[in-house]
Amino acid sequence: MVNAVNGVSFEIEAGETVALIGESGSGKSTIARLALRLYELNQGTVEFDGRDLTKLDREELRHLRSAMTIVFQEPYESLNPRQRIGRTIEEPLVIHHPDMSAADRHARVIDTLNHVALGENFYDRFPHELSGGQQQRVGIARAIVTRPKFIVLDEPTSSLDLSVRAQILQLLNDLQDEFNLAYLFISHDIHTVEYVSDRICVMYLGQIVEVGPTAEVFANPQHPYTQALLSSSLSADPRVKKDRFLLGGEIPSATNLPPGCFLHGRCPIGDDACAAAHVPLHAFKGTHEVACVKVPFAGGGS
Amino acid sequence: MVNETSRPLLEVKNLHTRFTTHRGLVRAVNGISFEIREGELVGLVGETGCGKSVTARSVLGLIRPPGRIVEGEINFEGNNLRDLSRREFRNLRGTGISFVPQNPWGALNPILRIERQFRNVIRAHTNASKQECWDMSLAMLESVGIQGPERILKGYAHQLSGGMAQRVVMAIALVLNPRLVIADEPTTGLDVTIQRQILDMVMELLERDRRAMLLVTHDLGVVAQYCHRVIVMYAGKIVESGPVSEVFVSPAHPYTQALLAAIPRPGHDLVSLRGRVPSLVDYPTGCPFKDRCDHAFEPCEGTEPLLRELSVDRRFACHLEKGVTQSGAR
Repeated sequence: MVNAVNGVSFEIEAGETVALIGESGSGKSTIARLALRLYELNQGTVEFDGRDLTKLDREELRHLRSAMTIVFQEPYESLNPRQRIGRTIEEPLVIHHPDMSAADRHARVIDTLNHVALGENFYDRFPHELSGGQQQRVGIARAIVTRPKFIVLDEPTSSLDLSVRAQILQLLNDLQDEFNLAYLFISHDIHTVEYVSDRICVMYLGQIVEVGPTAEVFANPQHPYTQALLSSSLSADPRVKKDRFLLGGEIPSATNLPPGCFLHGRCPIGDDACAAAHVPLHAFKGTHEVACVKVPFAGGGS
Repeated sequence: MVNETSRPLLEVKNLHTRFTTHRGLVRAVNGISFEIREGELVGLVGETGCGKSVTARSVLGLIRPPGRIVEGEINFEGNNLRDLSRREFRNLRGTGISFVPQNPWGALNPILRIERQFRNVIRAHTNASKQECWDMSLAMLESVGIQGPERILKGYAHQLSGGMAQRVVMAIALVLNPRLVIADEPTTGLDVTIQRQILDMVMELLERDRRAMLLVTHDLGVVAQYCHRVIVMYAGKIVESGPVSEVFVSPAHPYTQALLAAIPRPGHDLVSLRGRVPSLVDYPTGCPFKDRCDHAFEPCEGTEPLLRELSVDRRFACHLEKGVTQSGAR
């Protein structure tokens, strides 16, 4: 049994971007799909707009899916190669708004194409005719065509070239402002996450090890794993010398989790006390929380 | 320390590599020239389709039909590699120049034990006995930071994690002490914490043994932190080259500048690059970057800017007299 996600809780407000950052096996992609109930939860709830997704039947859930959508990492893989772009973007409307006329749908698709800075002449093209950046715009168009409130973005720019990433991040930013969208942004890239998110959850082996306002967490990382993650980032400015890197060893398997703290064994400051029991998140400062016994609780003491 | 005085270890002159496809002739590499000195770590950067991987493979003699090197010299330790027979080139690979590919899984044979894969490489170039091969392999695995190397040697590729597999592939590439290692995106796809461990280890090994490296990557951070020099490619051409400490701090070519500006930094507006890379089939006249450049002016349209010196050891290809280093002064 793979213990992918192990007791994760967080909230996202309208218009806010919460980022999940972590490496392989952190559970971030699984959470992305759990948040939309694309996977079934073994335990726990997912509330969207006050309604618990886990308690809805298929019909009710499907209806909600027009309000919560997803953009995938691999733009080409996420598009039907045999379907024209216009039809791909139109599909969510066909499913969720059967009352809309074909003419209205067409108009909405054109409007959406304009919103993602692709012109009307993309309507009849096929995915293979588009560049990676354009394909991702189509993925985004499909995710906003039903005017959702919440979008899960699973590594939306990781497969794109650097010069294209900036365009896509800018687009996502503009769309968020215009439609007051909530974003759950999954990434492994520290620079991107620091730029786009309001709050950040750092994940390791299916648990949140640190969470808080992005600027605060990046300025003042408390968990040894967060510190290691941030120190692994390499600046393109050669005058900024890379930090001494802090973490040895390999990421353990999610089928064989160590008892107690999951980082024990790789952690530069861990000791036997850490192996004893599971460590919950506790407040460090305001809404900045950490799951580490070595980090003092808010207000002093530990 | 980089050896400044002697002849360069690798000298590429006016390399052109093309591919014949159903869409036409793809000009993947269009007349590039560069050098690598002994012990130097050089980063070859650029985005998808810029020609960096094709350049690496051209140097390694790994271009096969429909690809072909149509022009140019590739001088390694003074010998033009293009004059070598396939057999002679094969002898050179692994001993003089070795290759670390992007995907370690593609490079490791899934049905042979790791020790056998080392032995195959060692025996292809030497008469080492089985025991000598074992000893060399073990020592190499320890150098790349693998704990319990005996178990790894006796095992198979599928038993390795991504990071371990990449270390094994590096070890195989280094076991015969090549003077030049060409690595094609060696840590892309690995977790960042693993990537750091591996890069720290590799660079230390290279510097210790004074090996040179050509690191092909799209990751500017890796180049900025680990390489001495950088070569920036765009649409099959070199647009800028020079010491990392200068090029990344004060880029001369508008494309280099745009690439650096596109890295997200909190508190700064995101500067995106408009347009797309030009077609490598319908190759444009003039400067290949002209349609995306904020500084384009008359000569850019019809005249290709040639790589020229900005200062000692810094070159760039732009019609602006000093590139964008002086606010685009013409």
